Amino acid sequence: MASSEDLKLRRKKNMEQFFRIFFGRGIIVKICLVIAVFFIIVAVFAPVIAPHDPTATDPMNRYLPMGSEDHLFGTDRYGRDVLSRLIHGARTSLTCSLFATLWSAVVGSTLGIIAGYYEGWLGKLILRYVDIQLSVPALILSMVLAVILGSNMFAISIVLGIGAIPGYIRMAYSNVISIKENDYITATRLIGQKNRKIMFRHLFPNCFASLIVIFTMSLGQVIMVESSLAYLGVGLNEPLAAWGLMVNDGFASLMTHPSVALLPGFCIMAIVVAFNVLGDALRDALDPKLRGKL
Amino acid sequence: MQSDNKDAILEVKSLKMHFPVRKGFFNKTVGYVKAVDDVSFVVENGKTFGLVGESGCGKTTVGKTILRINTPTSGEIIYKGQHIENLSAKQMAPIRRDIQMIFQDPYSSLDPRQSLGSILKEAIVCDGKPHEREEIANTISELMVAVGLDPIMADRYPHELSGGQRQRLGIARALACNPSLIVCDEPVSALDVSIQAQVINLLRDLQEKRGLTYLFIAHDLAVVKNIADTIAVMYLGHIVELMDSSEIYEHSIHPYTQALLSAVPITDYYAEKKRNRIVLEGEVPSPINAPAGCPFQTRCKFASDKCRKAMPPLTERRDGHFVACYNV
Amino acid sequence: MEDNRNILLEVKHLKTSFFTQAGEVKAVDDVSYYIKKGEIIAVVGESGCGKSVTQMSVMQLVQSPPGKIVGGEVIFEGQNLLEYDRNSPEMRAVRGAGIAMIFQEPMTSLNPVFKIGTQLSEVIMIHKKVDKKTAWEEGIKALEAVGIPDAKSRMENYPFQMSGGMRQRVLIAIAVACGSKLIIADEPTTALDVTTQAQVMELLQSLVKTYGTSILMVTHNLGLVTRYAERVYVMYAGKVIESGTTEDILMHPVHPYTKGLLNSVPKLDASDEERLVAIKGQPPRLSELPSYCAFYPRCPYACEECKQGYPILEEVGPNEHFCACWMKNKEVAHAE
Repeated sequence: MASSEDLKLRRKKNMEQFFRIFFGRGIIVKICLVIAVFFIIVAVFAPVIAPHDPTATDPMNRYLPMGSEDHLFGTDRYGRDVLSRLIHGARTSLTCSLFATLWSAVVGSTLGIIAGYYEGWLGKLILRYVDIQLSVPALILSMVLAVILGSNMFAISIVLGIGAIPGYIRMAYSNVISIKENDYITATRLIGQKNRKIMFRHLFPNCFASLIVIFTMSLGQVIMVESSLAYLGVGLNEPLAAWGLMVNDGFASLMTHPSVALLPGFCIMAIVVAFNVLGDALRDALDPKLRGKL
Repeated sequence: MQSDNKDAILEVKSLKMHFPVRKGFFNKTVGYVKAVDDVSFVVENGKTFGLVGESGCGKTTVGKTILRINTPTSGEIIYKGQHIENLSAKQMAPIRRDIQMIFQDPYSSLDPRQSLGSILKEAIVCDGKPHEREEIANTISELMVAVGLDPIMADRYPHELSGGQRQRLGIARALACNPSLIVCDEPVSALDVSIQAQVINLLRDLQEKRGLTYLFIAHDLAVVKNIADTIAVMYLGHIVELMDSSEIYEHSIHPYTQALLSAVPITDYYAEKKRNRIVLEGEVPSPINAPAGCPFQTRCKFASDKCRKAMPPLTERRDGHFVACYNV
Repeated sequence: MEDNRNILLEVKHLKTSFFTQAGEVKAVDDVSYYIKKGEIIAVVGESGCGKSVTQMSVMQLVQSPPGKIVGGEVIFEGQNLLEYDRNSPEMRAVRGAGIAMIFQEPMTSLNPVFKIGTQLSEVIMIHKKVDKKTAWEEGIKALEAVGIPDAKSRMENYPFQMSGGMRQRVLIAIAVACGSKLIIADEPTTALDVTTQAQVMELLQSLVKTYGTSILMVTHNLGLVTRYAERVYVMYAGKVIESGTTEDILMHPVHPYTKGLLNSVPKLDASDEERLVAIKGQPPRLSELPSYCAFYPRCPYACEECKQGYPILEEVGPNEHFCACWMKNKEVAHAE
């Protein structure tokens, strides 16, 4: 029955259903997709798009207002072009936060699933690790790590990711603990399936829905932590352009020149909301229970 | 008992499964749940062995121990002449697929994220041998037809099926491993009456066609009587009566079996009105630190001092009919 | 229905629908039945046939939205309950004091964080308007009445400290304490062990003898019906398709579904090799019902005539034996 024709048809049907549910929530998902794609394109082509060098200072033209000639979004306290800094900041912030969230998601959920599946000493060890990490204030831990690892983008991504790991472990662990009580896990063991594959094929997809929520949430958090670190002087350093850094930089002049801090703040908000909405849509689109409905 | 039986596919000897009850800060063991306590029986090749009892009597634990989901506290499990009670997971691997299980709950026994086809595919390819794509597809269709499902449904997901259809797929998954023995743990008790009959008939058909052996665990006497060749009645971790299934309705001996029978109403209106009802007092005692002697003593009208001292042994009363009771 | 004074509850042409995205789902479609004082009747059917929704409609406990009672009358002691608002004091007085309901899962019917005694005496206080101490005393009496040993100390227990059978007894005790005239028992023993099931059923039967309570049991277990019920209503896809005395329904069924159901039950007294005769196919989805007999796709006697519309309930024998089937008068329907 399953000729290659059938297979193609079925794949096509599945894709159609996927997109139908993905966009099923209406216009919001589409807007968020546009926002996310827009920021990603901006990040990729930053050097081409940016009208100015983001680090070039101009003491003569400090705090130019928005809409100035040649500086659409004005300049900051060093006279740097805010638009160019936003564009380059998209690159830094998105790379940094995406990389940090991705690696922590992979490591954290893997550890969490392992901890839940093998409840023995290995599981206990992983959970103890989480307890220890959570007993240290997150910001202090990140500061110490940042001091040790340095303040380049890669090091900061590692630092930011470590802060997000316990969330994934806890979520994956508590999910797996209940999922593995299902008979289908026993059944899969009985057909001789390897533990590794049980975790990958059955446990992971079934806790995916909760993990994606943590993922989209931590994406926003990571950008915020990045700015905190920058504020404390252990994160990404000036004159590098990063949104968090820009928010902190502009914070001092919030009352007199609000746009310098608010513009990057708005970018952070937009991207966090966009990823949250897209994450929820993805979660629904991947749930077979919702496919076929709607 | 019936050891040295050449037809035996499975022999269980003095099986004990005690779970420690831990309490307090230091996880001190304060007692044991004697879920299965000294159970012995023989399952013949190609036959159905029924285990009946109420919840907590240990029937499911027996099944899980035979599948080696549990490692028994003591006793022997001999499968096809080989002792499997102490095999490690690795040593179990070659015979793992030969003993399969059908579950009670058709909802939790299928992964909601996998299509029916991929559930079966996984079961087919897990034998570690190479498989061609075409061959897998054919086997999936064959299996689905064998259990009465339309192969077109292969790309559906479990939530699109009714309870009976899910149960059929669970059976197909077990068959995908080409097992000799299938442990059926309450396979029809979650199903509607009209669907129950379909699944029971399916199991009987498959047994005839494929020479399967079933260990059929259920609480419903009528269901077990319909499908089983031999029936063992369990109470609080012990087998109290073991007999040919034709004996149970009219020739059962143990007071618990009789009470159980009487508690099950029959649908023959005139016969039912004539039956005398034995309603047992009280409830099944807790299996934690169960009393010495016969487990049924607290509810038995014949209970004597002797019953309180030691568990009565299973003794043969008629050909192949064993009863563990001093008083009947 | 010759003696109206004796009728406790009469449901006439009750219709309950669920309004979902997919359209109107007729969960209960034109169901009528009655129950006399001191009588045990059974409503039999498979899951999704509307047997539980019917009872929830009588109590006006259907989740709304999406559920809605769209028609019919529920006459309890001469008063149409559907004229009351679902949250009105009159309706609340009926629930409990008039009609009590017992569910399949006794754990979820009791609040896990309150003592048995607190829950029991609270209900008594509301319905009997007595003070706390009297209510507590009456609670103990009620527990004793349903055969719970050591009732005084049991009042101090929390639900999780009791077994399933005991919890079911507590629920019955609440009904007894409130002086309920009708107990609707929705699959009361399905979650219980066989021997406990017998205990609970015997208890319910004894209530009929002692207090003259009426009991309506909703079940799929035909054995329980045979043993305890006096009359039976068989439901399929939201409709009553056959009704009559237990003897008639079990020994002389007319509707092919009733016959099929009886044949598919494994029998203790059958010979060993006897195969069950199963009903083919799957139970229908209420959202996809045809405009004719819903049993048509599964019926062994189905023919073109059956497609002319819904069959109505017609008398097929003495003792109020009714059946809704186009083929009932044909020879083929009676062929065994």
